[in-house]
Amino acid sequence: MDLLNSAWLIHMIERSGKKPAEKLLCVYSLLDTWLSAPGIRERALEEYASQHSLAAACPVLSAHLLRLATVAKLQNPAAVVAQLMILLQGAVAEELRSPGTDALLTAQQAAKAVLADARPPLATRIEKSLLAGGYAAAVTAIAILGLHVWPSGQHQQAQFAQQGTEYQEAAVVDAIDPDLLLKALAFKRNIQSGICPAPSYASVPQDQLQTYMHVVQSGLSSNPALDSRKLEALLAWYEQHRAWECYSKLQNKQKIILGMGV
Amino acid sequence: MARRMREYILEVAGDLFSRQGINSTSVDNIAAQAQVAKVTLYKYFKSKELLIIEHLRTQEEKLWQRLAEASRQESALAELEALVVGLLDIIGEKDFKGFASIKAGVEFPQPDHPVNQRSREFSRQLRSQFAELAEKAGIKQAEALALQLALVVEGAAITERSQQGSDFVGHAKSLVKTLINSAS
Repeated sequence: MDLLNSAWLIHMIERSGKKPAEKLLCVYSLLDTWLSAPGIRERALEEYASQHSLAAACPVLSAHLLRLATVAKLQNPAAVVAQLMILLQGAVAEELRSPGTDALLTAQQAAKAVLADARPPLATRIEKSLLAGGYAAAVTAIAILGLHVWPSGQHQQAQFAQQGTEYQEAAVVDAIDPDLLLKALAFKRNIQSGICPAPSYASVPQDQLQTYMHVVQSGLSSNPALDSRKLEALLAWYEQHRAWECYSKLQNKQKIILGMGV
Repeated sequence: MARRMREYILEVAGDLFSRQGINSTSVDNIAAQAQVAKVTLYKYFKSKELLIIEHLRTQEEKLWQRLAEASRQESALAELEALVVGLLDIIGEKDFKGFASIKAGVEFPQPDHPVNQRSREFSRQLRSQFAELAEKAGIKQAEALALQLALVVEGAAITERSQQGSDFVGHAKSLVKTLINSAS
């Protein structure tokens, strides 16, 4: 189910509340609404028949839930997310089988109990408000947890492996302005991690399609076909036409992190 | 003899159904695998549909038997937990291929199809057993808890099957404890 991996869903989750716990809970109501939209149930049934589990098929969603659970300072966030995904999986299956049983809202109630049970002790909550730098630590923690907890997370592993090569890539290409290259790398990473939607090939302007393919697929290293002008044009096009769909907060953070690295 | 033949065909068919799915198993496949003539097969089962229903019935019977052994406890609350945990234990077994009736429901999504009806009947039975025990244990929202527990079982069955070895069953068990505790 594409929707469950889409930047749109992540965006909706982020908009649905202020506290991370609220955001975690709204996943169920969002999917409830989605499954009751016309035509969706039939399509979901078709895809569902292939019997992939959500946790395996939706690395983007589980990673995001893990991020929220960590920011909420829940105890054992990885276990909480595994439990939330089990509930989500069961509820989607039940809702598809017998529509109108309020399976997703029932799962939401169950999820509330899970979150209440995993609430941090009071001392930690006070500490939380004192620790301004906790956020950065949380982000690192998610990255580490992400690797350990989701064995199916080749997605994340791929991202990690890729971060290593990115700098090699950067070293090889010297014809392109380094700032621009960093922007292109961030662009690539955002698309691969699902923070920004990947544009369909048909929507990319003809003359930029090749550049886009170079950036996203074949990498940026030793690529004579790539020049600053083309790259700049592509990034400008994306900024104008698609970037509004990105999950903006995270993108800013990445920019900041990127900025610190330089 | 006739009874043994019938059971034998059912066993071969059940094995094919659970390994490759019901829809991708034809009557020809079953006859070939069992090394019997198609005519013989039809003598015992008038149609594939009847064969499927019979397969689901036997699987359910086996499951209920196993659970009855596992879930004898002193209090209704303990019995409820043991029942759900028993189901999760089955899910966690290495050769678990999914609950036959639930899987069949996915393969036959049309609500008026006999196989789908059988599948929904199975889920309903499971849930009403949860609800009955919860009520006995004095839980006020017994129906809601029963549905929550059913969702956990179903979610764990699907998740564990496609991601074996990642201990989703363990997570599901603690989830069950949390849900029962917060309801009682």
